[in-house]
Amino acid sequence: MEAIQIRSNSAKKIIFLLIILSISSLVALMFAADNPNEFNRMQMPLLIINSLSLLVLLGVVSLSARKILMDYKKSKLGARLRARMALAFSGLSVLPALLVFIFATDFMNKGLDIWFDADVEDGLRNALLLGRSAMDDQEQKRVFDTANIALSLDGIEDIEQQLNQAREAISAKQLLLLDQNLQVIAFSTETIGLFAPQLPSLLEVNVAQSQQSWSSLDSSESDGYTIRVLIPILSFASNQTPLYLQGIFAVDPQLSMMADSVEETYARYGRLSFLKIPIQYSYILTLLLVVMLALLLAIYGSIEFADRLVRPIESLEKKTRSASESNSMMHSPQSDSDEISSLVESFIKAEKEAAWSDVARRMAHEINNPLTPIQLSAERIKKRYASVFKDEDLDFLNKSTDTIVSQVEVLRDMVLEFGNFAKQPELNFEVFDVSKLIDETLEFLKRDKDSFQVLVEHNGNTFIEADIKRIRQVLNNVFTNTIDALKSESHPIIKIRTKPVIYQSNEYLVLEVKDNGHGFENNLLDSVFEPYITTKNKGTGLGLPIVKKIIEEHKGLISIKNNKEKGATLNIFFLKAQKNKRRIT
Amino acid sequence: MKQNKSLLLFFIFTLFSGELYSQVKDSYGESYLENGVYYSNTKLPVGFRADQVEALNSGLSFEVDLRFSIVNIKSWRFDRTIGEVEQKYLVRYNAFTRRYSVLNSITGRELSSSDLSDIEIYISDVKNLPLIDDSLINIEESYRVYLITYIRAQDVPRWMQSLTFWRENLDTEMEMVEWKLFK
Repeated sequence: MEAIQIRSNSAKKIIFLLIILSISSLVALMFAADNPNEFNRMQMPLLIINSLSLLVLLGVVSLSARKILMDYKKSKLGARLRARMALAFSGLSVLPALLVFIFATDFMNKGLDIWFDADVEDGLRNALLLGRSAMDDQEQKRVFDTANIALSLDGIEDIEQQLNQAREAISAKQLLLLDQNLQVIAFSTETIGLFAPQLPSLLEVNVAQSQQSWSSLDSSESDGYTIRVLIPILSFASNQTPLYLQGIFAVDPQLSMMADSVEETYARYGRLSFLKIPIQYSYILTLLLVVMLALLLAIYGSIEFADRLVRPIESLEKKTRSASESNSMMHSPQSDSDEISSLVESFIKAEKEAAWSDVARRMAHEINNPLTPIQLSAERIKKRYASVFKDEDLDFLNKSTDTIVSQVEVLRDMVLEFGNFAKQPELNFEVFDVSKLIDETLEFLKRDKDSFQVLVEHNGNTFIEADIKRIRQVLNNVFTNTIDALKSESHPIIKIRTKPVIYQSNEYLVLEVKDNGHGFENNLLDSVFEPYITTKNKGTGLGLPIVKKIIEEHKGLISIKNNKEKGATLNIFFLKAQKNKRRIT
Repeated sequence: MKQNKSLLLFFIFTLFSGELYSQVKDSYGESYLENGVYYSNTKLPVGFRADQVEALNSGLSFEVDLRFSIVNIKSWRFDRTIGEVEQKYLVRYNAFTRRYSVLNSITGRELSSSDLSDIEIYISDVKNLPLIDDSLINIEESYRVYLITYIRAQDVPRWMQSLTFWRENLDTEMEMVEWKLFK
């Protein structure tokens, strides 16, 4: 059962990368907002990344939601639980996100309204008017000065000298005499070197003609604020053509600076005021994008979380159904590492072991009963007809009855094994030195088996508290299995080591059995402790399950793994004996 | 029937005749050679829209960008741009002086007026602008000059323009004007 359509690892990696990318870009956006230039530069690429992430997430979430809905409609296994959980988790994230968005938008709008308060605008306009009135005074004074000069000019002769004297007298930047066609007749300027006279427009000349004066406050990048005055000169007009005197004056530097400041602030406020709605929309859209992204991330996370939570439960239900239908409990569930998965795995294992114990007990009972009559009957047949048959017939009789007797012995051994696996014996705990038991068992097996090299290393205190008979059985099974695994090796070596360790606050004595045999196939490693799993041709498949059962009865641990180079290593953790317990040496 | 045909022909002619379109739009451009350099005189209908004037009066400045491209026209191959010239003007309004100013960003020349139309006329009328050196021109080939004019609001961040894409844009791209470099 899959709640989310996109299941492949690469797709998940891409989604994960996009999530990381969008979170990083949101953080970058936040930092860039402190610097307007950086913000302008980075805003668009970051918004594009976030928008892309949003679209991808939207697609993924939509697909997942669609799948959940379809499964729900089809009443698929676990769909109901998954849908409920996904909905509950998503609901938990949607409500706060919506609240944050609504309040943040409201606060932002109110903040902007305060920013563009009407009082501020009025104040700025008044400052501008106040500054202008100060400038108007200066402008009027300069009109008066220029008009006086126009009246004092005494004919066209020596006009440049007259203009120079007048300009210095009234501290003008420039005095310019021109006709109505804007042709320059004479000028005086404080500028040294090349001079490009700043001519009035025809409109300005016409205004000066009709109103007897024209003046203007002007500003430029190079000169700052200046006052320009244009006065018609009637006293020595040639051929009835009026002449005009233009005076250009610099504004007091301090006043100019203040005017500049007021104008710049007014313009900035005007710009912001004009852009108020675009600013508002931009911020709301950015906020919406961030909230949507966070929301989709939360929903995606909710669906994933619900899926992970439900999957082991589904697995359990599936296995249970499968077991009842096809008795396929031999396979272990998928190996997730969360608590629910472990719980499910333990549950399935416990069921399996219980089932196997029950089967083993029944088999032992059912098979064991007819074995003795079969064996006795075979022996009686042999005895009775040994004197009747001769030659080949006698030989055939002996071979057949011997085969029956020997196979009955094999069956009896098997029944014994089953019996051992199934029975729940009362354990007789005592403290003893397991190293001695190991050495004894090895010695016994060495006499019995082909030659192989055994390296034994005991470290520290090797006393444990256990049922010595059951532990002997454990060692016997383990070492027999190890020796069997080495049969095809030219230089078989078994390394046995004991050492004390502390694991999960418990003191253990670890028995490590390492060989250089053929090891286990990887697909068998997870199930070597399950009944009927064997790599041997004549094995019952009960040796290691019995070992595991006994170790677990002793509250110990057991694990097996393949070596990197060759062979396998088995580790058994025996609970160590408490120091005040009486020891058997 | 005959009248309808004439109207249709006139309509098709109007659609496909760039020259006529420029005349209708009051655009004009010409080039002349003087002392080994091609110069141009152009007249454009540069004018600010009402919302642009409002923005200008609010404190936003505008950039007027005139881009001249001299293109070698090929008959059977792609045309090739052999030179480009740009004229940029910055237009703003000073609330203190109540005057509009225009600054030629290339030459640094500045002009101000209380009437915005004076500024528009000043920008519209470009005279004696050097375009390209004669040595780069092959008299055997055909060349055309293309002029595109943009009016762009300054101080409006690009991201803000993108995020408020549904609102009317303050930027304008004017009709392209084109003429032959030489007859």
